[in-house]
Amino acid sequence: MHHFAQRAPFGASLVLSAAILAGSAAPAHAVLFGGGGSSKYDCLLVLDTPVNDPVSKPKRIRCTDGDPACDADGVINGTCVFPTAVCVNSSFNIAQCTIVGLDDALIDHSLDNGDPKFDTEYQALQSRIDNDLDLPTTDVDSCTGFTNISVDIKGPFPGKACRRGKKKMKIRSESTVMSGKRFKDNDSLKMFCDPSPTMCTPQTIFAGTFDRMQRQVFDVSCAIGGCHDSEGFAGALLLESGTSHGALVDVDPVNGAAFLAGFKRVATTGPTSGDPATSFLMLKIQGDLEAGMGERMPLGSGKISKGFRDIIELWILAGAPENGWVAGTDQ
Amino acid sequence: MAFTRRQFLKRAGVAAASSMIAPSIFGSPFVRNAFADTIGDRYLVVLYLDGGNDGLNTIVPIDDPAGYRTAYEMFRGAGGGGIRIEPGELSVPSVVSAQDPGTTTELGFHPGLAPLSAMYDAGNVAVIQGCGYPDYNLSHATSQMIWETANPTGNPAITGSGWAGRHLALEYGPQDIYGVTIDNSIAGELRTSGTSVLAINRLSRFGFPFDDFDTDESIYAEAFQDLANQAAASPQPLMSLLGNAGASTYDATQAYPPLDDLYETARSGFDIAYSALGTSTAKDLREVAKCIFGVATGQPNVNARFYQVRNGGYDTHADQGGATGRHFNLHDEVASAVDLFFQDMNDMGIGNKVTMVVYSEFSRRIPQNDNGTDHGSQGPMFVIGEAVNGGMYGNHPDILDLDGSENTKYTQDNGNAARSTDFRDVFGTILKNWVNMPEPQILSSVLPLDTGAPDDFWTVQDFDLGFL
Repeated sequence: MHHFAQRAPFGASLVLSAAILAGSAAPAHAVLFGGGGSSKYDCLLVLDTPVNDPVSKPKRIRCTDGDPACDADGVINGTCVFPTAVCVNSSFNIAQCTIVGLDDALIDHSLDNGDPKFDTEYQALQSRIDNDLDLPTTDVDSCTGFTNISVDIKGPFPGKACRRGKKKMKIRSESTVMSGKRFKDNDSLKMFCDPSPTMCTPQTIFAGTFDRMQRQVFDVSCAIGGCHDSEGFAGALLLESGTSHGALVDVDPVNGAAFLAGFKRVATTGPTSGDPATSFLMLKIQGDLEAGMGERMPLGSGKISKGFRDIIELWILAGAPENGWVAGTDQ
Repeated sequence: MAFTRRQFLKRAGVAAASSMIAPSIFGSPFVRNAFADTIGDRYLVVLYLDGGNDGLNTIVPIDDPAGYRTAYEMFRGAGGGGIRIEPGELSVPSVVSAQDPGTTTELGFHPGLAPLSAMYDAGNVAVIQGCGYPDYNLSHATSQMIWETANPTGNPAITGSGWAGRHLALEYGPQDIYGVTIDNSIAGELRTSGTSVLAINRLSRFGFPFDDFDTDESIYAEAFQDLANQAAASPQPLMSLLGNAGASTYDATQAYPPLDDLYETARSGFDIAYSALGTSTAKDLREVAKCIFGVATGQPNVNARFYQVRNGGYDTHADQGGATGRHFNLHDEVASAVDLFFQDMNDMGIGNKVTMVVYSEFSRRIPQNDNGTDHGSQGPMFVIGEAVNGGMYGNHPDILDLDGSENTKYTQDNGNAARSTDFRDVFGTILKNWVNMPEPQILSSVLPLDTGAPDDFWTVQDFDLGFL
């Protein structure tokens, strides 16, 4: 026999007050949903997102960038923000699921251990699970605070229109041992962000050329877990937001062959100032490397697209500014 | 056999012991008793903030004699996604000065640390600012290992053992248990193969293995003890290690579980108070309190003097918050639990016998990201207890100079300030002035100076920082 505990009535007021605490602009009301798996164990861990569209398919969240009804940042910036919490030992579907006793829950890609798909927001929600809930727990309808999960639209890419962006979060949960067995509840949440139909141009989405490079190239392909992020610090190069400009401009490469050849990562002074042909950043993403200069970047995946390589080249030619738009990089 | 290895580990915790490193002379109880242990009737608790605690939002500049408040507000934004804490939101000590010794900048505690700020005002908290080490490493696993082993430069003489473990190995025999980790595995700072260290998650779930069908454990226990003792007597080091680990673990399974009931009965008010806090840190510190209560009341074979507790969640890349939010929750959890723990110790009459040191593997970068912070360099440590000379030590990081030029591996501008204090001086001060180790022995066996190193390496010790 499984050990099932008596349940308290559903604490709706708790959930509502938690939604208010999140302090975001939009959320109308909480929508609890199981997230998938066997309906008998689906209540071990449930998700709470204030916006579900359509309500009949709560595992999918869809929003248009800037729509104040669902995008918590409320502005057209290429990103939809979804406040998300989890509740455990939930009574949301008491007719079908009465199991109580969550031992552990782990969100995929939430550990900062060199995982290239490491996601800082998944980590933040995981920390809320670990700290707010103190697993294992038999507390009923116990919820974390809300963490904002961001979903970027796809694009605008050079010469191409904006498209819908998507993201999928998976949480694997396991019950405490009940009569020698553990029960599993694997949940997923699909989130979609549609571009604003009226305003989706580089000029409206990005603050300038370097901001665009950061968000569309470095954040996506370089400053990822175990590579040019704090955890990995590959090649003594940090390309995270806030440090990348200082780490690139007028800095010597640590690669010996490139250093001896007189290259800078990007030069804005001296004999190679503004020269893409002696920029180790440019050479690394082009793959024009001599012996001893290592591999083309990004390592083990496709070349940065021609459109972005052109943008980076124009940026170097223009003196590698941290702010403002370089002509020809806002298409 | 009635139990599997898995069952044994699950139920009995883990102990490690060996005669491999400890001179065999310490194996003799007669010789051992001739040495009075240095820590005497005192205790040391290490609390590790796992993930990299944001030091700049832990101890925050309020005013501008050195320009730190203005710089802070430049690096830490207000409003949506901002993590700035306004002066009025900080918990500011009013009795004991909270001025930065170097610049006279007024400092405040993060609002989540209000209970710790009150303990600071009572003179029981030392804040040692700017703690770090040469060539800081920004990988969690690597930097954690560096702090635990106190070995940033890879000195082969001390590789693989924890700083506190090296002290334990000098003082105690292979089957003695003087170190306890409140976790499923032994904390890095206590690691040693010279003596035994216990890892207990909860005393209530700790005990000699049994199976559901046979209530008479004595024959299994006897068989296990025979095996362990035979192995311990073996001339082969590995066999001896396993035997000592088994024997000491068995002894602990007899001595430690009764502390659970003992504490809950004798100290029910505090027991309930930890439950009321309900956090993992409160519950972990309650396990420490149970063990210390066992030592202090003379329970047989309960001798642990060194404890390690850990709280996770400090890797605040995203969703950090400012005066409220996730970082507040973390600080509130720890400060409330530490406050209660020391009330408990005071009520036991041993508030002046317990010292706690709090550290994190690194701090966060000075400029914030969208709504959090990335891995950074130096950060503050706390040393807490009635015996502590409370106040501010070390220098607030110079956040107007972020070129990181003291670090040979980080010559680029990466948003980090230089350390003012090597963390080994903090541990050394504790070993010398609390554990009572002679300074030459600390240097020769526990915290050897960096050698053959550039200027910014740790080549001269200061084990009299003044907080103990």
